[in-house]
Amino acid sequence: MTHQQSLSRRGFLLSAIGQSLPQNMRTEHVNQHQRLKGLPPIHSEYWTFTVVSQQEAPLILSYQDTLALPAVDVICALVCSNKDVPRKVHSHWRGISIQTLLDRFNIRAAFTRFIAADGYITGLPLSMLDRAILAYQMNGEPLAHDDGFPARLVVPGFYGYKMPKWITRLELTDTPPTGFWEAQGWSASGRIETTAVITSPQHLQTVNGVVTIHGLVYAGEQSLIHIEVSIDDGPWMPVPFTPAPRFQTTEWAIDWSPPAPGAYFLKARAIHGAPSTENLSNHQVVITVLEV
Amino acid sequence: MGRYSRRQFLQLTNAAFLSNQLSFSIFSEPQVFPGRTFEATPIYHAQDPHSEVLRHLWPDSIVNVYYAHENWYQLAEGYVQRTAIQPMTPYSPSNYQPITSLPFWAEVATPVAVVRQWCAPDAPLVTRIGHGGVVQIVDRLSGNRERADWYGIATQDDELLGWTQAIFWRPVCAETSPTLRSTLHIDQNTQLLTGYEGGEIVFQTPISSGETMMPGNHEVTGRQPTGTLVDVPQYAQSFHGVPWRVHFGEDYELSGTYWHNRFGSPVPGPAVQMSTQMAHWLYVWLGDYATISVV
Repeated sequence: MTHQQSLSRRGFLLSAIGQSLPQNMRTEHVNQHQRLKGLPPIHSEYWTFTVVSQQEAPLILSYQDTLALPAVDVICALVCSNKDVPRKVHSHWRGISIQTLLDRFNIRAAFTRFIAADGYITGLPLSMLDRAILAYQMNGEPLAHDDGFPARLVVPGFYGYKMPKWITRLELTDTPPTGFWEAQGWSASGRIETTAVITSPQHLQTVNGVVTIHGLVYAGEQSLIHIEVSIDDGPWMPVPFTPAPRFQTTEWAIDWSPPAPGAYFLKARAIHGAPSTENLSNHQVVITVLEV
Repeated sequence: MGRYSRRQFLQLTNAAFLSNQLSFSIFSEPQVFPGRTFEATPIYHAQDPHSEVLRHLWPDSIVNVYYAHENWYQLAEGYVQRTAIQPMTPYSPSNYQPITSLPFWAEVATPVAVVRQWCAPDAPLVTRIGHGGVVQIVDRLSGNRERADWYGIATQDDELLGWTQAIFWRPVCAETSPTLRSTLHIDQNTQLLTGYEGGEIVFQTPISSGETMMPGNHEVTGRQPTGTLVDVPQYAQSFHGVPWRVHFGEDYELSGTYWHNRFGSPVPGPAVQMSTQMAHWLYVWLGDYATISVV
């Protein structure tokens, strides 16, 4: 391990083996999180995942222990809250059920705090973890370092900042944890809202003739009712689509024949549930049509 | 009015000219004309709203109508309900010529023209004016490429209403050329407007009455090429660029209507609504001293 990152050697080792860090060191970790993006590769031999309860002895799993437990498969999209477009359509994750691990504890806590090897901290209510897995494979391959090797948390229906990479520790706690991004004003719940985006044409693109408008919609566990597109703040046009399974991204496309050359303002939205109350998500681009 | 043939004009306006000179059946043979969809519009396999929906047409798109049936328009792929389509005066973007001599009257040549607070396609929306709507152009901003000019348009109080892309508009003549001894007869029961010259019927067109009018004879009291209808009840919105308004009687008006094609039945709005093309024709034809009788 080099000293490239500002996390101390002692801190890294303590974190990696699941020891609780002093409170002042945790704070320092959170503050330094953005400087730790250059986290060096973690060797699976030195990695452990620890579940800590205040009342009971911790559960410590090595990488090999983790692989030996019954595997659970989850297919879900990874959606970054600071981007309009889901990063990937969806991925096939394999790991172990967090709920199964927690079942080993006589839990009285209401919340969980996740700590990663780079010092990143976030958390979720315990009740939100019924579909969560400690993932060690993505699309049939061990996680790449950039995807969180040796393991990351995957929680279907939540933004990426609730799914820490390089996770080393899960703490059961009675109080809502304050995570790195949550402390900077991001949603504490982290639940992904229904999101519709136009992926093509791109903003300020110039086009000719018939325009094929492509897009993606993520609706989490909601059932998607409508995907609609509007031109120049006009009436909404329903887009035919085949809904993806829960927690996966629906791809859509529709052809539009501009009536005249000019600049146009395109908007997309997705509606789940009852349209009158669950009218969500709006994404917009401006394009220029030179010839029709 | 020379942009389309007489036969095409009759198709567009759903009117019948009945004088000897013009007499022929308006639906006697197929005549292709363009139409504008008001909303996302289903194309049906047959003239039956319960038949298979082949696909939806985009709102404010242009379609070619091959035949006009009583309640349906026939397209190449299938049928759409007549009320979903506004017949359009043919439009070709290649005919676009920017006008530099201000001010001038212009009508919407495309399915719709969007008016925004400033010259950007994502600027806040002011209003959307449908095909055939008329405004006065009072300002012009050259675009950074060909056919990318913007026009500033005026309200009826000569304020600046907003900005709109020039290519969506074409100049229109707002001069009148009244016919002597012209009279109009409006039947609220049948929703028909009939024009007479010297006691002889010359044309008949379906209308939509927007309010109950006092029966009797009324005089023309004024006319405007354009105006604004504020808070039209059924639509819960205002309509700008309402074209070819002829005021008569106490407080009634004839005007072109670009937001529906339900002529033949009452629709909230101006007292007498008709197609924008027919309204323009009437605006030119109807004399200032004409009598308008209402029953």
